[in-house]
Amino acid sequence: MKLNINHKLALAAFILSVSALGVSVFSGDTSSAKNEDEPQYITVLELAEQIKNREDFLLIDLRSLSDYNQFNIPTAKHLPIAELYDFNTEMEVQLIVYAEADSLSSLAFSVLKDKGFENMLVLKGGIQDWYNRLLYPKMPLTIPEEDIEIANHVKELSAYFGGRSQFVDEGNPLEYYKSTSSNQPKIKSQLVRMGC
Amino acid sequence: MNGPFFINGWIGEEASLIFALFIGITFGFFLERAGLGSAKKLAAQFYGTDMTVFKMMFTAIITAMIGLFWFNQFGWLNLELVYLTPTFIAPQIIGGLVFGVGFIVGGYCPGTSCVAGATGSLDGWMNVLGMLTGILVFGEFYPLLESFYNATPMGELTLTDYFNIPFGVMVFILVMVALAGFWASEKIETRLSSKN
Amino acid sequence: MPFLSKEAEPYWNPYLSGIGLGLVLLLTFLVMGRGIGASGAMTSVVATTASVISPHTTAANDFYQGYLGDGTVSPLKDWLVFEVLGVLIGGFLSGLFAGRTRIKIEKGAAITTNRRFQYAFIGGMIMAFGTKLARGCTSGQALTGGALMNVGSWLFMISLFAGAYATAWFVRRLWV
Repeated sequence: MKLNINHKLALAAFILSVSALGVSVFSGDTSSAKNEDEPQYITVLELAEQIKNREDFLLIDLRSLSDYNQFNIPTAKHLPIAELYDFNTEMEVQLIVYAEADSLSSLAFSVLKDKGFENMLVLKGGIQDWYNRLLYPKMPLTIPEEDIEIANHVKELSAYFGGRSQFVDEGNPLEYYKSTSSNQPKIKSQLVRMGC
Repeated sequence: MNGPFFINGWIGEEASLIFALFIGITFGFFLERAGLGSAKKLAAQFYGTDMTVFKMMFTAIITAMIGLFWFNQFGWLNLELVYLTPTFIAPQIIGGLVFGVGFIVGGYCPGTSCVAGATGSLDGWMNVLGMLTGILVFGEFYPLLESFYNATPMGELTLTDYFNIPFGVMVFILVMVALAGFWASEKIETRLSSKN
Repeated sequence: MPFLSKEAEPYWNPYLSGIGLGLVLLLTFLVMGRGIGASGAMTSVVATTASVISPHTTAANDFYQGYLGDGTVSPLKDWLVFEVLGVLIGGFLSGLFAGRTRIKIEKGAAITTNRRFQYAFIGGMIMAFGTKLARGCTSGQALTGGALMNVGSWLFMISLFAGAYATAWFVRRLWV
């Protein structure tokens, strides 16, 4: 039987996908496209507290140099993700990484973990949350009785880092400090917007 | 080699725009070459007389998919860093149905209407105008649509995560489905064009 | 122009063109870490226009804001906008070399030009609405998400074909 061009292409697709199947099955690769170690997080409040108390750790900013120069968290060192692969320091040092939001720092977490670092944390919500939740936190117009303590704590840290609280009339923004799972990052201008 | 180059900081934002232009030119070129700049050819997909849309679309999908698998396997591309549009089940199903209706009524999809317009089809430009208007309508009504737009969120979800099967196995399954689809397309085309 | 006088060439084999398109997509993933798109660029254009006409309402609208950013760079200086400019150039050149770039109106034999224009416009509107609801079009969702095995993209793609096949019979006079 003579194969025409379409048959040859189909055969090529077949061979490439069968070998993909083989590689996956025999290498015991149970993970899908994504295999991630769930990073351990630190909240902006905890980080602020630690900086204020001059605790011993290395804070790493993974964003681009221009972003870093424009604005960064006090004491942070700039180290882009590409250089992370060659990064070395003493293993005992407590590392804390942050980026724009969470995805890049989760990657950094797994890179560092592969390099053998154990002592590391990812700043939950990244620089976005630092800016929107710590430097310029939102407060409800009337602070509920049970939240006064947390509100004062946030206000104090915000003032320490030179920020200011804002009062807004929408829900209770203090809920954020109780659970860090939800965060709405501020939309930043960029030439490469992901998504359609 | 370690991709994605842009996210790893190997090419800058300005350079990425030039790359965008290059990618666009090749994208438009291949669409036009296959005949997808022609409304009649696009519409014929839905009357079974010309299955070019299906064939080209799925060939492109499985080509890129097989490539992604092997790039990931060789460590050339970190798939965790590739942007994945989050899944929102209800709006994406309804959106797809609405899109399909618009597609057969107008004769183009967004990319192909641009190609049609560029090759001188006046109806292609009318379609582009209609789309711009439609986006404006959507934007103006967005406050009303917002809750549905954000309904049934599933986050970043791949088929491999959802079905919990290895990447290579999923590649194999989808390639087999595509090849079966191509075989059926050829049969349908021969049957329906011999009738006329 | 020697190109314009020549006979239109036949189209390329759809599978070969598909492989070409797939490799372009793969290269985009490798270099950019994102896929290709089309409707996003149109949205940038609409959002920019809307913000010029009524800055206050667009500033309050999250949908537009996603495309406008914080105002430090022009929303039209965007990856997808440049990509779609490329699509126009690439389509034009391909058509030119194959003798297919010429002023024309594509329609079924049974309808008038005016009718065709009306339907092209209405179809575009409906499609745009679906696109925005689904967060992407045939390029941004079906092709890109399809290759990445994105669950939402596959749902979109299946619904797209279902919607079009279900409607095809009712609008057959437009095409056949």
